[in-house]
Amino acid sequence: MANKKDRRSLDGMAMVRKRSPPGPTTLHEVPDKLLELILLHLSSPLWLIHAAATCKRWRRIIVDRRFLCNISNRDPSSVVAGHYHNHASPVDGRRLVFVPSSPALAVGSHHFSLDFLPAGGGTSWEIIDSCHSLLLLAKRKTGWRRHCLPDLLVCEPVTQRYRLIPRMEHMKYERCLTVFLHGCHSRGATTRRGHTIDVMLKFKVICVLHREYTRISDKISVMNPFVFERSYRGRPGWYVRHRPMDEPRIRQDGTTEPLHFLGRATSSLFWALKDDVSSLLAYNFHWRNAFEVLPLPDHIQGLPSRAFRNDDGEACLVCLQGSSLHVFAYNDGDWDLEESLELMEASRGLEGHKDEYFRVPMKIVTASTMSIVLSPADQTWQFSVDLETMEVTRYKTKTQGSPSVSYPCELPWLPAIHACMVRCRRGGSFPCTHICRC
Amino acid sequence: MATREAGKKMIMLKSPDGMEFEVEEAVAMESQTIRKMIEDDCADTAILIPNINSKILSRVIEYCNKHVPTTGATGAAASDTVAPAALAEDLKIWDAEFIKVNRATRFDLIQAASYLNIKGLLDLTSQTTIDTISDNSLEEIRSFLSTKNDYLPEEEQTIRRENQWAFQ
Repeated sequence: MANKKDRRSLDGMAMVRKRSPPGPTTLHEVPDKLLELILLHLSSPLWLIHAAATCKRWRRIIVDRRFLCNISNRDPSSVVAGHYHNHASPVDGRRLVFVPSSPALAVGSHHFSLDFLPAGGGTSWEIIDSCHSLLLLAKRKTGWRRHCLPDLLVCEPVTQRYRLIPRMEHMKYERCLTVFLHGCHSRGATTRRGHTIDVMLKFKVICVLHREYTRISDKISVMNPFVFERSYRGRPGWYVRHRPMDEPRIRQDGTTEPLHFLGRATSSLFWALKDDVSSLLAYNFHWRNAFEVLPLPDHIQGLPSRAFRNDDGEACLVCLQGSSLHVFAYNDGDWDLEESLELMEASRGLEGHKDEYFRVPMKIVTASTMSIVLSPADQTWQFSVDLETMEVTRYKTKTQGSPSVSYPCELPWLPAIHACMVRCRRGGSFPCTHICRC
Repeated sequence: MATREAGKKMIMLKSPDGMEFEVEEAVAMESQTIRKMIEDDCADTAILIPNINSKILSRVIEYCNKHVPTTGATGAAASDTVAPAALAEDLKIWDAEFIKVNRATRFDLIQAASYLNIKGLLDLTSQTTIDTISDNSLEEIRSFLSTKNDYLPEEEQTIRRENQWAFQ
């Protein structure tokens, strides 16, 4: 309708027709500059690779420094290939399961098999973190050694590359509080020369080790952060993170664990202090590289809670108070209430729901970055709350197994695309930003 | 001819084949190129748009007419009563209808959108082109775009090895 109306307004204009030169009719005839603008809309690494494989001209445009810089600023869609789970099944033992996120992604899920890993493939390793296209795995351990720093491995499943990270020998009996991947958060970054950055060379693994000292009257705990990275000379290894000035020394009165890990936000880790419910211990690993003790408001002290990051990247704390769930966001020293959810009401429509379940305090079964699984005390009935939408769904233990954390795995963005397909005569001594014609 | 209706400044756009289009200033300002010309006072009488023939220019104006922000007196009828979400949805359907043109026209539109610097139109036309090539296998893309495969067999092999996962 609008079409007609617009046309009518154009009809009134004087028309003097002249033959215009014929424009391009195939994508092959479009000038380079325009083709570049069109190709910038490629929003999946898969299509980018396909486009670069179409012909030499397209590849030349794609590997151009300016093009790569421009496309890296765009947020790619559909890069999450699927999720990995640590699956413990009574039938076939422990294994790592990959669940593709969408069949339309057109990447065969056999490319996400972890059979290429050394020492028994997926059976002797356990996923502990993921970051974009990388996974961090730890060697499975039993007994008390479970709490010590394990041998680690970082791999990119889709390109079947891995790097073993041996534990620090002199620290092998130290208690390990947390290990995670860091430093690959800027997706699709390019170097100053316009080359794609290989994530396998850029990742960092941060671990926080914890040592107890027994003094005459009490015990204290000291936290030591370490990082595995490439030094500026290019040698990979474990390095002591610049020792924070205010190294926390936590007095420990009892014999129980002094700390309880709550979770990780964009730039901080959070622990609850067992002996002091009035505050949290936070380690900001990103900019300040420092530990700090954050006081908690009175009404949420001592409640079961988990830390996570919300969509805006803020550090959030989800607390369980009786049968209601509160989400607080950390903002300049204050915890602001963001959301509240009355669990009994919210879960009323769910199968198996009974009001009496909510007479006793609920407990947190497990929490991942985006959801939290809750259950009434001593009950097998479980439900999960999506922390983004606050939507409540039934968690079936029979079909979904014991609640496990899922680790998203993305396709590499940007993917490695070389300008030269065959060894050129320059012998790789200069950067190849264009297709070689030598 | 400078002002047809009270309160609306009109701009004359000329295509190289001699056709003239009279459009509202607000509509013409959808194009960043023309906006710059108007702001720099280079647009007293008529603006000659080189390289864009009348057929394409009329389509571009049609697009701008639809996409001009409908606020205040210039707004289309009943725009105030329609929710913004519904309006955006409506615009999306209109866009989809608008872009149903043959390939040659679409490339002309891309060229025009790039020259006139109309981001919305450039995104729409480029995205449509990309949508036709994505989700297809390599051979399909090549035959669809009538592009020749100019890689040597050994180069092609290396390409497939470089990102093996992308080729099944």
